[in-house]
This record gives sequence, structure tokens and C-alpha cells, in this order.
Amino acid sequence: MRVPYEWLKELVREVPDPETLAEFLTLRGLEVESIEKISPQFKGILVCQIVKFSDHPRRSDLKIVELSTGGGSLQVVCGARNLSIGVKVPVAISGSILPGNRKIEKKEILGITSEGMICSEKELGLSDDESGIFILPHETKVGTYLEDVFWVSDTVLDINCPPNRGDLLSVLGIAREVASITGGRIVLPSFELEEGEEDIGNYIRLEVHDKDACPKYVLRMIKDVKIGKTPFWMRSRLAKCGMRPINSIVDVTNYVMLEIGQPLHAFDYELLRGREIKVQISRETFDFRTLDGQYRRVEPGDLLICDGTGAIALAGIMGGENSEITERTRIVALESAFFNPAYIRRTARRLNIKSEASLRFEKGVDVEGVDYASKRAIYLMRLLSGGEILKGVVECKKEVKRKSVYVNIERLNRVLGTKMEREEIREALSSIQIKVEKEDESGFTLEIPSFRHDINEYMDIVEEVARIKGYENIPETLPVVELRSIRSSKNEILERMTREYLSASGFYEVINFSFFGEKDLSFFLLSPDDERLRALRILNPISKEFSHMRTFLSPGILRSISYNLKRGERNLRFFELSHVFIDEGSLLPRQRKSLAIALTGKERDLFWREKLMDYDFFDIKGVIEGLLKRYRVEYFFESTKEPFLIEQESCDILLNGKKIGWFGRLKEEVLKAYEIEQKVYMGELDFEILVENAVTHWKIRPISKYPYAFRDFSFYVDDGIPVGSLISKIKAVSDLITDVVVFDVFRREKRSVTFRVFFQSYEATLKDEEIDVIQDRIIKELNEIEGVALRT
Amino acid sequence: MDVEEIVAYVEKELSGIKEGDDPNPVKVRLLGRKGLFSRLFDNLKDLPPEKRKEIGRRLNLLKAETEKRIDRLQLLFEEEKRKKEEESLKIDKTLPGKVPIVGKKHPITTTFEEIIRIFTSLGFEVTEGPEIELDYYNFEALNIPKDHPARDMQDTFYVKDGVVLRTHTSPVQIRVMESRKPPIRIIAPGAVYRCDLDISHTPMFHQVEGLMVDRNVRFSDLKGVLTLFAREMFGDEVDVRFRPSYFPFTEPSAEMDIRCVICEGKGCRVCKETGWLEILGAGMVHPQVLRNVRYDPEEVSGFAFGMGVERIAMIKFGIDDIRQFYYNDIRFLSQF
Repeated sequence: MRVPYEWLKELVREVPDPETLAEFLTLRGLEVESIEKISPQFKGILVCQIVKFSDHPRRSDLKIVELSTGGGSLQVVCGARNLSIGVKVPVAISGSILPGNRKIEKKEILGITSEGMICSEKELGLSDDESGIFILPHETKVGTYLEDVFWVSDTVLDINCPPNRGDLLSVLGIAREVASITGGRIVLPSFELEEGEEDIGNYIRLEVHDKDACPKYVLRMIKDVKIGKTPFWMRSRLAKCGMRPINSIVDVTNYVMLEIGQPLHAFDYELLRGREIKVQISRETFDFRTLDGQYRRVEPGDLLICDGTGAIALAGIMGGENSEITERTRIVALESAFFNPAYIRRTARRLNIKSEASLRFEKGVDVEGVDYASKRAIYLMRLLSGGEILKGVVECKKEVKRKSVYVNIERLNRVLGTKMEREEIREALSSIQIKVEKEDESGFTLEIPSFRHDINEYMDIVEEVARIKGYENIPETLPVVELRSIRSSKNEILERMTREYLSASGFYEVINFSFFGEKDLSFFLLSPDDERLRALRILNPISKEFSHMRTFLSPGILRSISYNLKRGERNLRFFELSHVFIDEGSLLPRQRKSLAIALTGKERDLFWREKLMDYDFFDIKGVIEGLLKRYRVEYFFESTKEPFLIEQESCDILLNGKKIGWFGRLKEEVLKAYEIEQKVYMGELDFEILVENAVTHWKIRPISKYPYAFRDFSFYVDDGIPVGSLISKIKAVSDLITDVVVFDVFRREKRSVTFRVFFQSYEATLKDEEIDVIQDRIIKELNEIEGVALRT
Repeated sequence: MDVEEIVAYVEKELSGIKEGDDPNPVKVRLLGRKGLFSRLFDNLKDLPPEKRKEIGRRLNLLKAETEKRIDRLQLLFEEEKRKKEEESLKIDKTLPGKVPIVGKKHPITTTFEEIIRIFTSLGFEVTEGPEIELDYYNFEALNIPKDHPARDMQDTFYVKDGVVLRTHTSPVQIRVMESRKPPIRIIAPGAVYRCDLDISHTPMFHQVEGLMVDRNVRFSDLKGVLTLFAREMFGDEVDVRFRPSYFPFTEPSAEMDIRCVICEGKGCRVCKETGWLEILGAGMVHPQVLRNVRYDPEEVSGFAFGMGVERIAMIKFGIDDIRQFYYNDIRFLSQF
């Protein structure tokens, strides 16, 4: 809600300066988003009164105007058509400055001296209006400078009102809050309605079919209006509130809405068919053209305003083009009503219309203010457009009682942690017009004003009291609770361990959006029965690239790699540990954690002491093996069929015979899709299964008191024989073997592999003879394998 | 045997060794098994007994003196040798060292961990809930019925009828309350989604939800606990204020601000000239929400809060564009 400061001051006495006011309102929960200063772009503009004018001797379309400056007089040549004796006008005298730093000097126009220029609103930069000179409000004082007149400079507060406080969407609403802060008094604009002789009942009939949907509907009418341009004071207030001026009837409806919060609608009476208005709920579906020129689909259940033939407005949302006020309108029928918020909300949301009216009706307006608003508006219409107000009112209403809420004082204090006295609470509530209806020993029954739709129960009152007293005046306490220990879940422990292991190993954690696109699925060449194709589609995605919920993390990591490669960072180690979502046909998808790890480039680009090798299969394998060892799970690697991997450099990861992930080198066509032109090794694992199987508590093995020994063995190993199987074979030979390390692999005609085997006993220092026995068995076992031979 | 002549000879030999030179060749000539002194002592037996004693005494003195001097020269020689060896070890110490390659956790993770540490130390337990959530948990149970104006506050991603990407972590409140009885003290960290993307919005971001329900939980407790949190997170000197606000699922509702850490309250672009930075939203659990989970608002009360993790990280690290968190630019990630 945009609130002009000068308007606010008209409705409430004692308003602090805008900055202080903003602070007060913010601490009351009415957050002031901005304080906008409006200051004139002109200087030295004198308010003068037209004394007389006559034709220019040489050009009849120019006038010589004599002006009174209060103490003296001025002569100005002017071409405007709206000159009239006695009006007050702004005059740019010699030495004054207009917007755009335009300087005004005395000059001669066709032989006649002109001591300045009578300005239009546009020339003063006040509006786009250049249709004539700016006629100032009559109460403006002659001889003062226009820049000192209060309504020229102003401050607009942009207030972010809580969505449940429809009562704040008017200057009056804000004024009520201000009054409760400052103790000031609300001053409603005073006016006297001068009705004519003709009775409204002779003109129109009203029928409200559903009083639940429309508990109050009031019609007033004015005839013989001359619609024209709205005076500056009203237009400027509308503009400051962000509304576009239209004409002297429509502007009044908007003005009164901004002033007191009641949306109004004006119909051109002569366009109504059948001299009647009916408020009814639609029973059919049809298209209706609203006054913005668009066709809207009306459906059964929508609340409509109809004439004798059909719809003329979507109640509380927007009027129809068929009854719109135009320049030719002579008789106006003015609607002021209270519509049931639920109806307005449903229709406005379905049609996706957010009008100023629907915004207020859907939060609820003041049912007790409906008639006042109608009077106020019809009064202003006559003031601005002339004509005659028809006598009386046509209305339809149902009794709407004020709500009452009971509050127990002790309980209120207990919820807030305060020790407020009965009187203090009563006072705080009465400042926002909540009155005590009845009271007893433990509390009061309160009467809630009709504009406060947000107050329905006891807690709403607690909130109001806390708000009025100020949150800063509520003490800070720490709850007294029973001690209990907070355990980390197995998942938390393992997540922390995984992040620590990977970051200590040189990997940066990335976080990608949980979305991917259909393209990602095709980039990864997944076969039609792949689980990862079962991605949930978002109905209103932010973009095509982010149209689905991701089923695996790899596409996101490749995007991150691509992003960095494009910025010249070639050596990357990334991991992501986040949720993925698989649609299994049930209402909610299966959500599980996945872990993806990727590396590309090399450890670092340059180091003066040594040349560094590009990352390869054994780097990703080592990282994953290290991780799996930390989880203390029994894992196996097997050849993989993942369609996006180069089979020769990739593996599946198995746990208890079940596949839980994969790692290896991505195919070039996959990388190309992400604009990556270097080798990428990555892996992705089902983190949930890892957590299930991981061991988080274990006992350590004592350290042997006896020294270890080692022997080296070199074998010729045929290419078809996996070295891994030989390692297992060696390990199986004796319990005394603690480790087998491959420390050399080279090829000269045949592949040669050297193992270093470590021996250790927990019972005694091993003797050479004991090791010899094991050594012989290792050689014997391996030699028995076809394609393996000891190198001698 | 002329002792004076011998003294002069020995002196000549010894003084012929420069300090730092190897004294061994001289040592061998003088003190070796077939060296000078050895021969002289052999010759002693040829001398008459009266002379033998006197010359023997003097030769012994001379020998001891010689040994002492040779030992000293030996030490100097070894010292010199060590220096030369060390000299050859000289390297250019200004060449770059080899910095270990380590990675880092994402700043959102570290911020999460810090928030979790503070609240677990206060006895709050960590829980999680689904990110793809039923409309009921995300809205209805939180007192946001269909067509409620508060639904406009959050641009929701829809997946299918009745299923949304959760717009906040608050549905976890409901899931927890439905599944257990008070006392409850939990926090729920996680990703949330809103259909928005600009310098201060990303379609996915992270929140930490908190909930405490028990007999007699007061609004003053909310203030106390959250002020404690702010001091832990931003330092003891941080200035905190609570403002009334609106959330459909809490009442009274509040927002907590801290004094702007950039301008110290003078007003700047970051705090929109207000001198304050909004840190979190909170409030007493709305009685309707308690009723929705079949708790009796007459029996129990509680407070809830929710904070944006990115927002807190942005304030702590001086980040002005929330999208930075999701580019995963190594030049950004490596700074934490």
C-alpha cells in the first residue's frame, strides 16, 4: 500500500516525521519498504490570480493577462484556452526555473511585454496534462511560491501490509494504526450530501439472490453529470498511490477506495437493460467481456452483477464493458457492497485477475463502512462532475453482527511470558478500537470492529496485545526443559564422514538445483527401461533445462565441470551428496540420497620439480575404494553396462551382490553434449544403501609387538589374467600375510608384475624359514595358474 | 738425541698444517705405529739410564702436547668438512612449496552445520522431510487453505494434483507433530523450491525449520532462544530486534532482524537503508495448526521458526548475488 504522507495527515492528527513514522510502523508489523520523496523540479514559481485578460492586438489566439501577485501585478502573454477571471495559477516569473533546468526570462511577444509564463501541469513536471494552464485549488494563497505549497512536495511510504490485514489497504486503515501509536484522533472527511427531489426508487430496482454471497449491497445514483477531467489534487493523490487517472466519475470510485478501503463500481445507468440490478450466482458457463476489453470465462458458482438481461460485472473483481462509464455517461449508478471473500478469491484466482477491488474484497472490507463510502463517493461525484443526486438509497442487507472473543488474562500473560495488568491490556486493545463488552474475574469478552476480519479467536488477541505493547517489551527467557542427549543418526555421521573424506582428498562439494531437463536424459543414452528415466515432470518449470526432478546427480556435476572448464579451470575434483527422486507411481516419489564424484584434468597444472600425470581410471578407482573401506563394507567391482561409460575403463560397484553404483570414464559423445573436451572420470553411488550397510562402530586391532617382514615376487602375467585375482590368491595363502602391494608393472614382450608381500605374526618374530615356506606356497599357487610364471 | 731438535721438528710439522686441513698424514708420521714418537721411544733404550729418564719424561710431554694439538686440528678439519658438505645442500628456498591438494565443503553445507551445531547444543534434534510434498502438509495443515492469500507469497512449483515441491521446510513441523507427542524440540534442515530466479532468488534454496512444543512454551522463550542463536551465529555483540509479522501457521508471528553487519546500522544498500537485516521468521504455533495435528491448544503451546541458509551465508561472507551458490565456480568455492 502506497500512502502519501500529506493525505495521511489529513485523516489523523499528530503524525511524526516520515522516517520516525516508518520506524514505528515497521515495529508494528507494517513493514515500510521504501520512503519515496517527491520534490518539485521547479523553482521560483509564483502563485498569482488572474485579474483580467484581453486579446493580443496582433494575434487573437493570444491573450494579454493581468495577474495579481498579492502585493503587485504582472502582465503575461498567454495562449491557453482555459483562462478565467479570479482563478489562481502558477506563473514562471523572470529568473524562475522549470524542469529540465529551463530558465524563464522576461521577453516581448509580438510587441507586447510578457513578464513570465503561466504554466501547465506538464510544464511544471507534475503530470502529462498540457491541455491548458494549471488552475490551482482555490484555497492556494496568492503571492506564495508553488514549491512551498504543501501538496507539491510530499513523501510516499510504501507499506508492505500483512496479507490477512485487508483493513490496512487504505489511507484510513494506516491512519488507524498511526492513531493507535501516537494517541492521535481519526478525522473522517466531513461533507454534506445534497440530494435532489427525485426518488431513486423510481429509477432502479435491486435484488440480491444470495445474501450469504453478498450480505450488503447499496446503490446510489446521480444524474445529469458532466464527465470531465478530475482536478489536480485528486489526480495527484491517485498517481502517488500508483493509480492512473481516468475521468471525474471513475477517479472518485478509486479515490474513495484508497481513502477508506471500500471498492466501488460505477455503472452507466442508461446502458442497463431493464432498470434493475440483480446480484446472483452464475448457473452457466459463458464468456463475458470485462472493461479491459478481454473475454473472461464465467463458470457456475461465480458471483455476478446482472441487469434485466445478463451480466454487467464480475462482482468485486471487474466491471463489464457493456455498462462502462464513458465521456457520454449522463446518469451514474454507484455500487457499494460487501461480497463474501471466498467467492471473490475463487473467481479471481481462477481467472488470474488481481484488480485493486478484488485485492480488497478477497481479504474482506468493512461491512459497516459500505454506506458511508457510497455517500462519500456520490458527494465527490457531484463536486467534480455536477448534476443531481437522486434521493435516497436502494439497498439490500442482512444483519452482520460484530464478532466477540473472550480472553483470559492469566492465559494471555502465560503465553507471552509477561505480567501485564488488566488495565494495560484494556488500554492497548482500545487503541485499536477493540472494546470490552463484558468482563469477569479472569478476563474479558471483547467486541471486534467490523473491519478486522483477521481476529477470530483468543490467540489473535494475544498477538494484537503483543504488537501494540511492542515485541521489544516482552522479556527474553530460556525455557526450562528436561535434559536429554541428542544423538547423531547413522546417516548424519556418514554424511559428515563422507564430506570430510572427500574434501580432504581434494574434492570440492558442489550443490546443483534438483532439476534437470529431458535433454540430460537423452545425453546419458539411457535405455528405455532405465530407472533414471522415471523423472517427475514439473507442471510449471522455471525453464526447459529444469523441467524435471533429477533422478541422478551426474548431469548436474557435468554442468558444473563444463561451467568451470569454460572459465579456464581445467583441473577439477567435485562431489555432490544430495537427494534424487524416482517416480514409482505412488503419490510421492521415492526420495533418496545419492553421492557423485568426478575428476578431470590432473592434480595441478604445473609444478617445477616434477611432471604431473593426467587423472585416469586408477584415480577414481582409488578414491572410491578408499571411501568404501571407510564405510567398512564388503564391495566388489564388476564390468559395467552403463550406456554412458567406456566399458574398458569403467566398473559397476556391488554390495552383497547388488549393484549400488558405477564409476569410470564417460563416453566422449556424452561429454560433448555438455561441451566438455577432456576426459572425465566419475562415479555415482546409492548413498542410502551405503548407510544401511556401513559400520560406524568397530574395535581396533592391537598393534603387533613383533617386527614385520616382506618379500618381493615378480611374475609374468598374461594380459587376460586380472592382477586383482592374483592379489586375492596371494592373500589367501596364509593368515600371516598382512598386505600385498603391486609396486611395478611393465611390459617387455610379456607383462611383468612385481608384488611386495608383507608378513607379520602377533605371536612371535617370524623366522626366515617360516617365511620361506609361505613364499614357496605363493610361488607354487601362482605358477599353477595358466598364463602366470615366476620371473627368474 | 737432541730434544731441542726434535721439538723444533715436531713444531715445524704441526705448524705446517693449516687449520681446517686434514691433520691425518702428519698424525701418521708423528704418532703412527711407525711414526716419529714410536721410533724415538724405541731408541730410548740405547741411551744411558741417567739420560733415558730425563729425555723420556720430556718426550712424553712432547707427545701429549702433540696429541692435543692434532686432536684440535682434527676437530677443526671435521668441522670444515661438515660445513663444506652442508654448503653443497644449498637450495633456492624461494622456489614454491608443494601445497597439498584439498577440497572444501560447499558454503551452504558449512552454514547448515553451524546452525545445526548451535541448535543441537540447545537440545534440538535433527529431522528431515520429503522435498516433494503433499499440498496438505505444505499448505492445508499449516492453516493455508486453497485460495488463501498467503499462497500468493510463495510461487509454488506443482508436480501433479495435490503434490508440490515444498515451498518451505514448515511441513516437517506437521509430519513430526503427527508422529509423536510433546515435548518436541526439532530442527529440520533442507532444500525448498519457489518459482523465481533473479539476483536475490533461486528456484531452489535451503532453510532450517525449528519447532518446540511443550506445556507452557512462551513467546518470551522464542525471543530468548532465537536471540541466543543470533549471538552464537553472529557474535556476542550483535544487536537483535523482533518485529511483528504474518505467517498463517504462527501467531503471534515475528521476524528477527540483526543490526546490519555491513554498515553497522547506519543504512546501506544491503539493508535497504534500514540499518537492519532480516534473519528469520518465527512465531507461536497457531492454535489451528495444533488442532490439525490433534494437539490440544489448551494443553500445549509451542514456537516455530524458519530461516534461509543462503541469506545467513550471504550476510556472513558478504555475498551479494544468491545465484553464486549454484554456479559451483571453483573460484567461488575455493574461498570458503
